[in-house]
Amino acid sequence: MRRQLPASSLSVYIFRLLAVIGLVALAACSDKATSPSTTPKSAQAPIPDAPAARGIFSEVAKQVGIDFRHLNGMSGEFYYPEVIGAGVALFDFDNDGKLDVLILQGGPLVPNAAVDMKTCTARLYRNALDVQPDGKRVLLFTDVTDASKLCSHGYAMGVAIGDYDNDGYPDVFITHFGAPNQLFHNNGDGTFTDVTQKAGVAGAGHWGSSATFLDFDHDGRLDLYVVNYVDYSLANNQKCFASTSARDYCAPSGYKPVPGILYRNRGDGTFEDVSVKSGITKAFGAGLGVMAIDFNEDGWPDLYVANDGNPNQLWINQKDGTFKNEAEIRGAAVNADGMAEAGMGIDIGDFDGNGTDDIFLTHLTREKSTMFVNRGQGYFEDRSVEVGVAVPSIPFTGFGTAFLDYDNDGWLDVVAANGAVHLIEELRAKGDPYPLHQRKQLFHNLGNGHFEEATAAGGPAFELSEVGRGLAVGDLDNDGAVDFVVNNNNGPFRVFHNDVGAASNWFGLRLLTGKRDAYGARIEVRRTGLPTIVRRVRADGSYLSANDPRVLIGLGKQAKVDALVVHWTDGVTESFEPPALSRYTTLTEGSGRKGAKS
Amino acid sequence: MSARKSARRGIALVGTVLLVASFAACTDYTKDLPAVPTVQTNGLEPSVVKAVQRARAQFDSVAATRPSREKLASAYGELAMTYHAQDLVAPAAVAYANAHKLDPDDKRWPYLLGHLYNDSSRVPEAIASFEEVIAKHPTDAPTLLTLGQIYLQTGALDKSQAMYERLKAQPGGQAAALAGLGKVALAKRNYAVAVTDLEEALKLTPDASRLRQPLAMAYQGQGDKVKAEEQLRLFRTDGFEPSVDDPLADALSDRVAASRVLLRRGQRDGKAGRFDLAEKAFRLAVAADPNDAEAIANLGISLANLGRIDEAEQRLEEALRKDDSIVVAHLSLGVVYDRKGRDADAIAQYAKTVKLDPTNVAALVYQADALMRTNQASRAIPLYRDALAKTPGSGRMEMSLAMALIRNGQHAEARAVLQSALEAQQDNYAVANALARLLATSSDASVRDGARALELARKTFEATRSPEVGQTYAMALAETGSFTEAVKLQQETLIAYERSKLPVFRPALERNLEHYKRREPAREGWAPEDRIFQPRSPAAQRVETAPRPS
Repeated sequence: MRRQLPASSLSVYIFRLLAVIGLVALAACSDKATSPSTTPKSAQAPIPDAPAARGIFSEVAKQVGIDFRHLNGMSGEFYYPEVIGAGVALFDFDNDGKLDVLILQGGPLVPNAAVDMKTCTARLYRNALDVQPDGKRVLLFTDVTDASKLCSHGYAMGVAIGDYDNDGYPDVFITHFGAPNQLFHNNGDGTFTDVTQKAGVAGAGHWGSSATFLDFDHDGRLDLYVVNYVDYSLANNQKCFASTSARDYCAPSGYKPVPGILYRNRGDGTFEDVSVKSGITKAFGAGLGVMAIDFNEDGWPDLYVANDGNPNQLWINQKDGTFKNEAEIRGAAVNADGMAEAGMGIDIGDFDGNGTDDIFLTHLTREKSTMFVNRGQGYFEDRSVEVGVAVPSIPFTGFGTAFLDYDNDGWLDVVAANGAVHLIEELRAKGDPYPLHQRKQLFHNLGNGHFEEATAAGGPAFELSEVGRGLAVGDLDNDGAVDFVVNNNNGPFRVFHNDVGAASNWFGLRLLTGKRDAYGARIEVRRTGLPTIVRRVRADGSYLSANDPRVLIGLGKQAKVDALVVHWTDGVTESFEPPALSRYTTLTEGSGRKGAKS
Repeated sequence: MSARKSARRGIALVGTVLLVASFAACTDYTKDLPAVPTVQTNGLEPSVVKAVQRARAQFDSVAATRPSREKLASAYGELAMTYHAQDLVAPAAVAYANAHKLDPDDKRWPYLLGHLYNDSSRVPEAIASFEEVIAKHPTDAPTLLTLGQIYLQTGALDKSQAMYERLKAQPGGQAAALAGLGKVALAKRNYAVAVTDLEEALKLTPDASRLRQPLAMAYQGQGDKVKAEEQLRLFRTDGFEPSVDDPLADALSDRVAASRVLLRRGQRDGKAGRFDLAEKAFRLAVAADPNDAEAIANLGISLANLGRIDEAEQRLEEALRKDDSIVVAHLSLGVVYDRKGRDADAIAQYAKTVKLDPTNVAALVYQADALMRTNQASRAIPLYRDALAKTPGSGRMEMSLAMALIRNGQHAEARAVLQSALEAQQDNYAVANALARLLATSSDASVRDGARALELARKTFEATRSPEVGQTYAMALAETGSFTEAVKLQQETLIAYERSKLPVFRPALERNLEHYKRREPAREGWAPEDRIFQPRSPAAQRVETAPRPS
């Protein structure tokens, strides 16, 4: 058993103390504030002096300046998008080394209404983290949506981040319900340009959900895969009922699933729809989650699509521009009982330390979360019960989720944002106006292939009962402890600050291929007498969301690293000197000692 | 004496009072029972409200009679079942618990309470309830199965295995037990045992298609990818698993009052091919809400699937009178008319289906088939084209389109369609035969290609030895001038038809034979009466229940 960090660890007090110091520092800085036009809608409140945290995470959204509430447009008509929620992205749009936050918003759902082109349905918050000379950190976000010109039009659903033009600035792709998807080019000066029309990625009017950037054809440019959900419009909204006969939200089975879209990046700012040509439309379900990972370790990115109520797809890259769905034979289509589950949230990582990527999926209440354990070469077994994630998740409907090593002990833990999609009768009977809320869950990796639920240790922040949907993980204050954020459906946005992770040894990596993040690159951290830590660079996964692309390596008490090896996505392997602890290091492809092509 | 007497009387009186008091205390067994919570019925369907009110009134009337413990327990249990059937968990749980407290020996209440907890994701409480049942009723098959499943789901593999082993010895429990044991073995990575048990379970219940997935994974675990793939081809996510008879679950199910729940149940049963159960559920749904057109339509579909065509027709027409927009009702009514030989009416229903749902391939094809049968090939052609566009590469669509084109005299287009189909499916003998025959007999000289026809026909005939292809081979021989061989083969083909009793329009064969004898090629590939111009999809013989939201 690994050591459980005490609830009131030293780092907690430091964080709180910093908040006070930050208040003073900010007050001093505010005298030198730039013109109002450059700091629009700034949330000026720094983190107040809060009571000592009693858990692993503290919820600090308002304290750090994010006072955002998602609106699902609930009208009493039980429109389907009302329960689907929206995503969130953690990315460094201005390349200042600090993670910014893009939060997607819903809005009114009105049949036959034109897309509202005046309202921006995503808010971009710039991270103004202040690291003071003595190392103290003050986290503060300011809303820079208007100045950034990143204006999402429509009921926003999912977000993917990727530098499609290799200029070193991450671009933003947003999916919508009832409106075209949008691609925003990052101009590198703090602003974005909507390039959807030129790029040709608006979609065919379908309900887009998650999306991911991947270089599926190895031409050095990021392509884009967009997951579509079901053929739904407000006009074809069906009436559905709970077992009690009370009106309820429908299940996806009432609507036809829609295939996803694969766009090939032509390299000139435009994309070609290669969905049919690539074979990726040959199988599909009501898609919600997606990740691009090289499952079969042949050096080419594959795609895993989690479907809601239909078998999942595992598209194996055939290296010729086409994909073949091998989910069934590889054991990752349905659960051990042969049942297709409500695949919503997804993350992929090596939780058991055997060097292969395992798949974690969140589902409906009573279905349990699923852990597809990789038996090697991308062949899986449903080991959910055995690893300990099944039983505690039975009462919950999971959405956003992620592997995260919250205590930096070198083993990937799991967080899940929960919230039902069908009315919870006990809440409804009590007259709850939105009877779907559930608490979030935290699972602690015991380092022996098993998890135990650690929700209670998570702290009061985990007692919040909300309708969790989009979730993204990342180190917001660069203290080496992974934080996470949740975009609650029709509820307040939450920022969960990690109060314990920084107490362990760690180092952080940003991997670049050229100027952009090297999505898919595989990192091996070799240590004497301890398992090699294997991580991948990824921003995709979770649910409708995008994660911090940097990789945090937790080392626990053992600080010594023997070797750091990176397998780049073009097949080149390089080794690097073990990086300095307690800081982030950028590794660029070509700057290491080259090994043989893998 | 009198003082003694009065003292005795006093003692007797006190004794009597004490006895009465203690008896009253003993009989007032309701005082520690928690009250069953009131149900919030706002927003519930009238049939559900009525069912709940009726159950409550029945309970109250029993309770008012100062019943025995057993009688009151039953009243609580019956009340609980009504709540449970409507998914009203909180009052059901209290009522079951009261019933169980009053009559701890009655298996029904802890068993159903266990299911209630399990359905509400309260797994530890469910296990406790079922364990209590099995302690008193160690051979109860439904409890053994349920506990086996829950233990498996919670990782208590040895306990699960023990339950399934016990179940295996119970009458009717073997298939479910083997399925469970196979899954336990799979979870234990004992792939050989998993394969044996799951294969045995499938031998007992070959339709249990959902077991194919764990079986495939067991083969995969053994490294046998071929067998794994074989099983996956037979796997259906909406298939079922072996179970055991569970009269209590059936009784609970019979209490469902919500028409939508009944509708869903019927749809689920229909999907599993249990049209008898589906019919029952849909009838209850219609009884709960006689104006529910969807329920009536589904009842009609179930009846059609049970072969009760007249009743089906009545129900489907009734549903469409109430709601003309139910796509599947139009489609099903079209099929019913089709099966009654009412082609014109069938065509009208299919057309309505397509109008409401232009993506409905079945309606396009059935309509086109009916048009072909009524000599309207020109109208069938665009429908087949549309269906083919929606199902690219479908051999059935390509063949149907080609035959419609031939029937309509558009031989060049038919040839193109058949050639393209054959390129994609070189082993499709029906396509090869049709193309060979067209190349041998077309009235359009630019379409004919005797040499190619001969090559194709010979190859296909050698592979099939079917009289249908024999006819074609004879046509190709005649077209290439080999009349003697054509005559011989045509005569043999006539005999082959006679012996095989295969349906054929004999006069057309005889006409061609006369042509060959006169050293003339055939110019009639298919007689107008040929069955190929009378298509009828086998699917039209059995319709599916409506997929609707759950």
